[in-house]
Amino acid sequence: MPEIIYKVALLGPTRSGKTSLISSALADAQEFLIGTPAKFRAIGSTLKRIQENRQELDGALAAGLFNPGALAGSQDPTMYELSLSVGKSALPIRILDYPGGWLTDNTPEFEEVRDWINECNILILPIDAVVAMEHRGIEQTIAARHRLNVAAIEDAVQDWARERVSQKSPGIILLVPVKCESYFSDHGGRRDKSVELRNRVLLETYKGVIDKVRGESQGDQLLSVLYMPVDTMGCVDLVSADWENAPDGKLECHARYRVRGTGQRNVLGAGDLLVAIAKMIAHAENSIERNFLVDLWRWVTNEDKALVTAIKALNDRPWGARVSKVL
Amino acid sequence: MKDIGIDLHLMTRGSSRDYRFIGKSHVDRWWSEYSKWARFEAPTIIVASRRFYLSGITSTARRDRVGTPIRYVLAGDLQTTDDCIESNAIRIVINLLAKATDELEVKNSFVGLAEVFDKIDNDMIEKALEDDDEASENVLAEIKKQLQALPDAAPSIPISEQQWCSGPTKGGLRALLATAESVLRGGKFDGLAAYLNLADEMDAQRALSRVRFGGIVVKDGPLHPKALARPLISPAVGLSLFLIAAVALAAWWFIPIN
Repeated sequence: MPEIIYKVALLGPTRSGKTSLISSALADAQEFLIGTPAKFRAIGSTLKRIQENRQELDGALAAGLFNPGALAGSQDPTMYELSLSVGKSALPIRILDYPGGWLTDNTPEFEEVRDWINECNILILPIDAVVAMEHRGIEQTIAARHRLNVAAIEDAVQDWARERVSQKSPGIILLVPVKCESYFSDHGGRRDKSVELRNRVLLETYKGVIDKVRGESQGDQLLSVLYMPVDTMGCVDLVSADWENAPDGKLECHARYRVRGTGQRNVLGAGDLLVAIAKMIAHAENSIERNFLVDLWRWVTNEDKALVTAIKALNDRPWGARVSKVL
Repeated sequence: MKDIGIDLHLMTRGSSRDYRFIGKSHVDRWWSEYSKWARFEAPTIIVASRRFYLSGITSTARRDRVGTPIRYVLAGDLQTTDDCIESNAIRIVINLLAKATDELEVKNSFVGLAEVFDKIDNDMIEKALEDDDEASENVLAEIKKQLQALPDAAPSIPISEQQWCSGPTKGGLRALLATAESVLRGGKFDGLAAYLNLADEMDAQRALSRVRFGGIVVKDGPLHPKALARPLISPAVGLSLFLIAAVALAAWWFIPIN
């Protein structure tokens, strides 16, 4: 039965933790859905991919040190297939992950990815919190913008926003700093630099992104931007971040971490990604003219009511304490 | 350099530059149709019609800027009509696959094969990734040289099963080499020989339903190659027959007969 597929895309540079963010969101999902009849499920090979990523993340925490280098970067596009289901009714969600370098190099392969991005209602921008925070002086600031690929992201966001507005279709951008453990004191961290991180991201590095969205939305309420910091590991502390010359002649940030306590991963904030997806679905489901057979199936099985109730419950769920609406 | 009859494509990354194919020519990502059964970052082998794909070859020497070992992907198409060159090209691919599968059973990696790529000068690879044409040509020429120097694989033992599935055991991997050789010699869309790291036996059956013959190695497959029963009709034909029957039934029901 043909169904509407909800599309989500990630927009981030190479090694920004895109895959780990998806894995973290799914790790958070089941706990987050307790008390609702809904389930977030990974479909097909997505479950195995997520399990492999979790194993890599656990492996990265070996011997009391967190080694981000233990995580394999992506080399090919991967479609993560998820579903938000109630009973036998399922709303398919697809998240596209791809090598972040395609964005920088503007490779021919990125053209296909760009088409997908422009069809998405949700755009997730993973941001390496350490790179965004730990730069001092003009040289490091320029290097941080280069490593975070801010210019290419601004262009891609502008294209996406323009497409949303021309289609009169709503869109949400999620600015998601990842590896935030060292900047929040609400989750076992010793320092609270959350305000500084927020200012760095929203008022400095990604101000251009927000301005582009504001400019394209021309004052209507179609587009929104949310700030959503996530602890992807939840059990590491930043020890040092040094900027060193890389073979490409530019500075790059080398971070060292130590593992807290027993080194058990404890993700925080990723569940809010699912709230955002649920809110988008809730909005879309109200305005969709659905296939007659799908409607009939739901009516006969009484799942329509259950699905609407579940989506409404997710939609009404408040954002986590760290989330703020930017636009 | 002597033509080896294979059009080669190498994908790797630099310390900062992300994964990409070396050179400016467009590469057809034909292997993406198998992406639901394989995580290409991990060891994967696909041999279909006259081409091959090997991924998850993890370097023991090169690392990216966050310290992750860099991987290589090698894809190739047989590009010759000369029987003699073709025969040599198939021998080279089989030697390459034999080297790749050498330690797969024990270490679940292509560690032996990584040495072949690690012999290439790192600076030359970094330059090639920056679209330096001369460096790209040199890198590919060096790979061709390395491939020609690989030791000859043991003669393959023909496998009687038309379609089979196996775990990554010695027997399964030998069967994979034998089937790969048949696939490379066969015509277009004829066969498939693959190691698909996310697939199970059911997935193998699905993948093989598209081809006339083939074999697939899966992580938790049987110890020895196990013959897979071919479905009597393909899913597409089955669906078509069902729809025809449904239309005929509806017509019989609704159209009045005088």
